[in-house]
Amino acid sequence: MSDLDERDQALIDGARQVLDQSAAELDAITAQRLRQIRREALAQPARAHWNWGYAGAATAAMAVMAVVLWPGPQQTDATVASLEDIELLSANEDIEFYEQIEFYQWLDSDGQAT
Amino acid sequence: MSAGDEGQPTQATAASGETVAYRSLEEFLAAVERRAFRTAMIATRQRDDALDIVQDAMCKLVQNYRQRPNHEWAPLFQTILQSRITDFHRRKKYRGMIFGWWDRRGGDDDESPLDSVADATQANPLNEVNTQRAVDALEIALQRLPLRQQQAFMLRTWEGFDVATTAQVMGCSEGSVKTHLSRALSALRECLGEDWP
Repeated sequence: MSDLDERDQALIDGARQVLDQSAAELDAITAQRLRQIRREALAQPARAHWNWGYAGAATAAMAVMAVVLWPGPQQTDATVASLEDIELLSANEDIEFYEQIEFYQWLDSDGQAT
Repeated sequence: MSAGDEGQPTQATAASGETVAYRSLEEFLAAVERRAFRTAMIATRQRDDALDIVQDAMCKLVQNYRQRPNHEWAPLFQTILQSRITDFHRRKKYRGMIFGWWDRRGGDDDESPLDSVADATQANPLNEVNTQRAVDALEIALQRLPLRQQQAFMLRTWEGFDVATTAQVMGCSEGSVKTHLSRALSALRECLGEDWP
């Protein structure tokens, strides 16, 4: 504070001395309360800060997983095929009927035509 | 105690412009708690409000900034403290706007600040009386300052911060700090007189 004149400096020095003295001579109850406040504050856990590196990596991993696991068209075909298999397995017709199903389909279409 | 609290002492500018080394956050808070309370007390004039403000500032420093380097604790703590004091005055202003008409109906409890100055005729030893009078007179003069001038004076003279750090704490330019301090000194000289303390 070199830009201050002597009067200002004297005022500042006096104020500093008086304020230091007033802080040193705090009443016992207030001083005790301040110690209690300090202890309570120090007993608090530090707030967890976001680690943006980890957050970014986690987001990227989730995006990759979503792309890999997203049900595509092949999944739909597989589902349809499975339904056809279930229909075959649960049908009462003899297995030979299904082995010659193309012949029966031709016979059926030929009969409709005639 | 976390990793940031312990270790080699770090040089930090603290009260009265002295350079002080704090080994732990506890040591730092123990060193500043009384000054923080006096600062808040002068700003609010209410003991309980001043204690609440100090508590908020300590809690926030511990929660959010205990891992920061030791030399940053003082300006961070003062930033939080002054922010809380500003919030207190803002709330008080809004409360005054809303309930002012009701308070004015009471009317007869507007005690002059000078009424609380210690009486020099009381039966204390002379030195104690003079000291207490000097303290009371300074506190009253500081309380009469606009908040920004009061903050600039306390941070520059009592906390010993330089102009740049004071500007950072107050959230204003260095030029504004110089202006606030100059006006504060002028007002204090006028209020306290040449013979103080």
